[in-house]
Amino acid sequence: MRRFLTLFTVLMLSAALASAQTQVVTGKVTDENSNPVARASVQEKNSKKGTITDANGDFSLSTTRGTTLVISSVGYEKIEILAGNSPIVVSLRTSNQNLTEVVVTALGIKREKKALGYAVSTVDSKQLEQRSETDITRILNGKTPGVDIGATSGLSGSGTNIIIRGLSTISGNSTPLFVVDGAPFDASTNAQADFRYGNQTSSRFLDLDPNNIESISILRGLSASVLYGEQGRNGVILITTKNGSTRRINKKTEISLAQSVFANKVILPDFQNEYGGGTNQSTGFAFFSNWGAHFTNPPVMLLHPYSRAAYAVAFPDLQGKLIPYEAHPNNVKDFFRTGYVTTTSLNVAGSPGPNSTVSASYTLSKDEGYTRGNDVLKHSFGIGGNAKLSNNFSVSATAHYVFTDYKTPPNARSAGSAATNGPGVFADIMYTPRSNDLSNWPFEDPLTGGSIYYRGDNGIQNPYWTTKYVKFREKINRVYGQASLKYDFSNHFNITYRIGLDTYGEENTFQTPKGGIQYSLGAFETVNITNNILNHNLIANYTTKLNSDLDLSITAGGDLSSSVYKQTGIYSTTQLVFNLFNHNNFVNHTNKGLIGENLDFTSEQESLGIFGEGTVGYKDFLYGTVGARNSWVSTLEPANRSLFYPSGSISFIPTSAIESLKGNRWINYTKLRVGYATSARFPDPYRTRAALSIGSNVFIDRSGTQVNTNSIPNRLPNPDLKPELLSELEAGLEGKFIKSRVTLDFTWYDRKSKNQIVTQQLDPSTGYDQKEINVGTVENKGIEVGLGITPLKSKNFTWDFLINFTRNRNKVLELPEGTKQIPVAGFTDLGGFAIVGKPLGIMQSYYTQRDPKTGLKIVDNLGTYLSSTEIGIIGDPNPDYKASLINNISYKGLSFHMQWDYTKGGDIYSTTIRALFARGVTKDALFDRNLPLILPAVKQDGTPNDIQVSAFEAYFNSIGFGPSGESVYDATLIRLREVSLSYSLPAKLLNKTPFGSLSLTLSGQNLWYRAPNTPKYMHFDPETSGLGTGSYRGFEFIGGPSSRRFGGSIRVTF
Amino acid sequence: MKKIKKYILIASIAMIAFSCKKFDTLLDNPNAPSPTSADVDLYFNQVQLSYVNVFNTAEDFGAQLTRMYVYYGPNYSNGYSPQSFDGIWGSAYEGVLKNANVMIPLAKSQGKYFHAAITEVLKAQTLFTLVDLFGDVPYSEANLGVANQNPKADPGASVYKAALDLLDSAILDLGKTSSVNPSVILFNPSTKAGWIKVANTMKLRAYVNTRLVDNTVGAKIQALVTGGNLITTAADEFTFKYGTNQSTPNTRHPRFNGNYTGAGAAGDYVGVYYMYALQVEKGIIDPRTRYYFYRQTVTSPGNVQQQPCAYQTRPAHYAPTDPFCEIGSGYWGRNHGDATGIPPDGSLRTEPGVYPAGGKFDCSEGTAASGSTAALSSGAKGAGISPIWMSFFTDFTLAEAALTTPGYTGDARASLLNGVTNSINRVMSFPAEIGTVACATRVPTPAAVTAYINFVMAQYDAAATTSAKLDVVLKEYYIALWGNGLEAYNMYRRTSRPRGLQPTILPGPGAFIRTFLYPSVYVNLNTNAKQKADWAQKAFWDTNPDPLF
Repeated sequence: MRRFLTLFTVLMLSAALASAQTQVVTGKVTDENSNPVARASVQEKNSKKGTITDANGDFSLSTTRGTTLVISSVGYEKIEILAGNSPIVVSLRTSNQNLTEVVVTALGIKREKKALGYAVSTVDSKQLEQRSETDITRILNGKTPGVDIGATSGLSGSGTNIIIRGLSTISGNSTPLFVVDGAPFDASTNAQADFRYGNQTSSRFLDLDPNNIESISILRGLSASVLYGEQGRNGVILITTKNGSTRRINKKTEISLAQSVFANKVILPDFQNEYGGGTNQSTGFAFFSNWGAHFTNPPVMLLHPYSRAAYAVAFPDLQGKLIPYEAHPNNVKDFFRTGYVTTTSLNVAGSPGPNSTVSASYTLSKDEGYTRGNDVLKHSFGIGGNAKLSNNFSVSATAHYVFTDYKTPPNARSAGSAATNGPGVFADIMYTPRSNDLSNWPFEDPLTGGSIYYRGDNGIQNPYWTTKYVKFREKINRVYGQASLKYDFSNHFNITYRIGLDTYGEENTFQTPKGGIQYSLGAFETVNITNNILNHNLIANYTTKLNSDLDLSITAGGDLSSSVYKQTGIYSTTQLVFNLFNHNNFVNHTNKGLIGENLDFTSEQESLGIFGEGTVGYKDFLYGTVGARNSWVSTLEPANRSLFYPSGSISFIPTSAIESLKGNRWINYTKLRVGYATSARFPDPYRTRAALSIGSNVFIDRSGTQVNTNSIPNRLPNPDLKPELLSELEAGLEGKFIKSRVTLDFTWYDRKSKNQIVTQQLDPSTGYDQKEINVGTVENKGIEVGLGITPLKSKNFTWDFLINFTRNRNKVLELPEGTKQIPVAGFTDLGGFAIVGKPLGIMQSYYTQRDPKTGLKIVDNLGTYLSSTEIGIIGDPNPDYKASLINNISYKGLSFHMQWDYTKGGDIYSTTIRALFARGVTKDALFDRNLPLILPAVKQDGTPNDIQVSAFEAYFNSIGFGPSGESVYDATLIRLREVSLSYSLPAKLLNKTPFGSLSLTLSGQNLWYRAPNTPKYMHFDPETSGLGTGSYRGFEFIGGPSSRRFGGSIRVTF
Repeated sequence: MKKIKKYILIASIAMIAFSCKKFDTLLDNPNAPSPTSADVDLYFNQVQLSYVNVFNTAEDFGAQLTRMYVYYGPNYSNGYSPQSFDGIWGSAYEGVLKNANVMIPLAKSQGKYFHAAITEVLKAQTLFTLVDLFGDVPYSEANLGVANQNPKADPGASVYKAALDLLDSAILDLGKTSSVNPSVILFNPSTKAGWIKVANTMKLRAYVNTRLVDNTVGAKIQALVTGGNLITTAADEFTFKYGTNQSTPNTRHPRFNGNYTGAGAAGDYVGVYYMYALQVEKGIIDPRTRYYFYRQTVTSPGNVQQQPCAYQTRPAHYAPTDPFCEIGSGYWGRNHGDATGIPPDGSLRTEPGVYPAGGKFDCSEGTAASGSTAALSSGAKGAGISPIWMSFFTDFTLAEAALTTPGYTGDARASLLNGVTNSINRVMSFPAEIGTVACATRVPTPAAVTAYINFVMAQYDAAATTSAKLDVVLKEYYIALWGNGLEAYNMYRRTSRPRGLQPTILPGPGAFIRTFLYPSVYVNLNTNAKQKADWAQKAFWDTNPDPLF
């Protein structure tokens, strides 16, 4: 009816005006299927006069009768038509997609891909929805070249680190910028203690709902991200939520509902069940090591480990009780559970008027870890809408509210013999001796509630006790969103103002009742964090045709952004009543946290940028872009606060430029591009001015006087600190070949970051241990390839696959003069370093000395590997390359999807392997243990080693807990990351139902993997980093095993 | 259109101008005060606490090498990594020296001479300790911050000289009238007169320690003794005093913290040899034994799981007089250089007792005092002392000087007698002083004390040579040094005594650690630093040959 009325009005109007020389021409633009095409350009040929169609595809233009109108729209072939009698109905044909692919670029500007002089990759909602992971970055793994993603632990909800184009900063953060619907989104990891206390802290991109994402554009290079300035230096993950989408919704797809259920099962080593706890064939239940005697039938009977004086009252029945020394094959397995991951997602969207869309969404996701006590619950709400008003204003806004509740037992670092710092849920479980029936032995004292364990001195906190009582929890209430107002001065010129807000409150608690081991008196830490990012953005867009061959588009604007992080906290110790967590129930309170860090602090910074970018297009085959930005950032002194950085790129499309290539069947499309861009990094706040450290109540003397201190901080301020400058040259080739069956996107880049803001570690004899300075250069060179092949394509059947390939070579080119090396991650004798000529983060520690003549390892007078006295290089964590193969087969409504990932090379120091070897629990150490061993080595005098050692000594002292270098493994990894089979009901069947679509999917993640150069039975997953989310890799401190997730989902729209 | 562009331009300029003003307010750290608000008393507290860290770390390394506590080894070249010394390096240079350097002139400018003087003493002590542990260390180029990021090491002798000058300066400052006394002195003594004795005694300590390389020290020692301003009574002793607060802040003696645990195992093992020296070696039980050690069990050996060494064969290279593993009666320690796995014996090992750690007096209870909440309230609850210099250290030092140092004419025998008597009296009076009691039934009788003293004096009198007399004197000094492994380690290197220490389990452990390798933070971060060739490099005052005995 409405359509009829419009048509009627148009008819009446046109009839009235038909006689005039200058007349109002009206019309409608549709696609081949008669759907209206909105925002199509209707322009007089050889003039700047024109208009665009509205949401219904209608337009009206005052023009001269007989003028030729050029009607064009992105994605369609241009058409020319004479302005004759109204209404003019134009049907546009979908154009050759090669030329009209549109991608979202910086600041949310949609641009034709052919005009871009840099690489942009996109991932759409299909690749993100209904996954068993609730962390968006973990889902992205392997889906696009150039992005490297690693988990910090096996806990659901734990942090993730993500690196684009390699590590380029020695001391800074490498996490890319997240931009959601045009507004910056905080992606930090607010850990209270450092990596030694466990990598259980979640990264704040966990608050994103993967099911509410319309698309993700990944801006990898500086050319792509220059408009974001220094914030975009690590790449930009540009997310458009479904609420922020302007896509019009078709009937019967206005409501979509999806439900998925997945099981989450741990992957454990293959344990041997022939030998039990003990050392050197001695048997017992009180050992960590599993080098005891062979099990016998009937078994040897031994005293129950709880038969000891300390437990006489608690366990009278167990005193003097003999139990068999036999294998308990499931004593580790039973510690874990099958977690269930369920997601319910509802999205309602529609177009209430011709020029507006609205949407609302809600997702409930529950992710149960495979460890008891580890859960992530998320409620995500989103609403959004946009409307184009009749007065040339357009408004759009999105608002999201997320509640994330993440709970886990803490996961402190383990060196393979009790958690070193706080309690670690995985620290001691993996090497439980085979003879110990851990799952059935009591883990808490029935009288006190305290932890009890099989060691005679109760020196380790029972992991069951840890899962029951010790909790780390983060509760996040987060609101983020943006509102924008756009004014179209004409078809060619518009200005947009956008305000973006991301604010969250985080309650971070750590609690452990009295009766534990590391915190025997009980401890309770509560931290309240508020983080605010407020961003104002003003952007002007101007496009024009300079003449028939030259197009010009200019984007200019500015942004002002402020971020304020505040936290306050209390740390209490000495619990009064067992397991009640209220600060009143504790005796001592302080605002210094677990490692003595201040729990109360504020950090505030502001930045201002103005930028401009102009693109000139020549005849649709040559595009040149120049851009520049000037940033001012509040963290530096006035003289150094401003930085200007330019960029430029060229894109050339031979298939459009060269006549003979046009319409070529084999080479359908090619594009060559080259770009050069610069960016910057500014330091964290408060690094330029001296301050005083104060310590309150650091000691109480015998008379009860509280002692306070002040001291000069150990970090030297540097008032001359300058921003660090990054530059990148990038070149690429894109092409489609053989009837577009083969697509290629190849990129080469060379990024140098100079004048780095390096936290130089100083010899404390200078009085200080660190200082920020501007020296040091790191280079990242690499290639990124996306190759798509569609071997088969028919009406009902399609088979395509995509290969992503990433290779990055990283090198430290320069360090501060007089600096041998800079420790960048981990410990100073077991960690990642920056060394000139070596890749950033190269691993150094102690290693087994080798005989210079034969190259053989050297043993000491005990027959044990002789450690070096100084640290040296033990490995390089950077992989040679990473590749993934994504395979899709679809037949009618049935589709099969499979993703294989392959990482070649890169080293990892694995404490898991180290401990499991030293303790002798896996099948890797299953052999006749009665026979002595002689390690293949030479003695210190160079003669062949002839010192016999027992299997225990060899594995405990040399192979397991030998010099650190012995525990470095090649991290080559092949993984079947995703498999899914889905079925969509045919449209015909649904025609008479209210449903627009209905699909069922069975899928699994991480179903199989193998790291071929690690011990076979350990099933070790090297895609993990024990160093936290600081982006450095190569070290693992028993962060927890990997898990398999599989299940199904159903999705309907109506 | 033009107008709008103009507006945008004006708006941008306004925004920039506004921002830059706002930016200036974001440069000062809102979380910390400005250096101009520094307070002398608060600096002084920082220096006191940092120095005691330096002392405790040094004391622990020394105690391990001299068999007071276990040294895991197994060889001398692989028992410690250079990183083991990063902590003390930081405490010394960043904690003590940096803050002291700023604080001393500030204090003097405010007339706070007492503050300045104690700080000078603590700074001097830190320098002595650094040289004792590492040999040549940065001093003249150290603590200059940005002006010198790669300080060169100064010869140990010149650092010792600088420290002696600081002690002289402290004595001068103690003679001046202070505007105000320090608000808190965490050490004993607490008077200016007491600190004059401390400064003089630390000079004595330095003179004796350098006697092998300096033939002028005899006269200087003589002058100090004549001056009479030395630590000779319990009231004068130079100690750090701990409290009983368990956490936030933990103010207890570090050895108490590590052993009288609320959960888990007792800490580091006491050395088998040290307990043997008190309990078995003389055939007469040392009256201090029950004050020094608390036994969690009074029966040993344990079973093979708990105490595997008791079931192992005695190393062939052990002399018949060397104790190995088990000395009976629950004195449960660990052999020197035993790097094998830790058995589940955490609630059985012998713990440090009431002196000086503030633990339990051993009343033969034979019950665990670790791994339980009750253990935290054991004995004096950790209110021990760090015995930096006790009155009897002066006695033993003078006895050594009398026997070895020309120019000093003291009576070695009298000094020895004073030393042993003062040590026993001080140890026996200690529980009452820190709020605990020794059960009356187990307190050594006066007769037992006299018998012990007589035994020692008879040994001395029976010693025919100066060297043999020195053996007796220094063995007693070694026993009296419980709680101060640093002086024991210095004595061992300076005198090659006590003789007959238990060897490492492994034969051929390599040269004894004469000074430590440099810390990894120094070697790896300072371009002028070069790691030592090995662990056998000696401090400047150590001219003894290898091996030491």
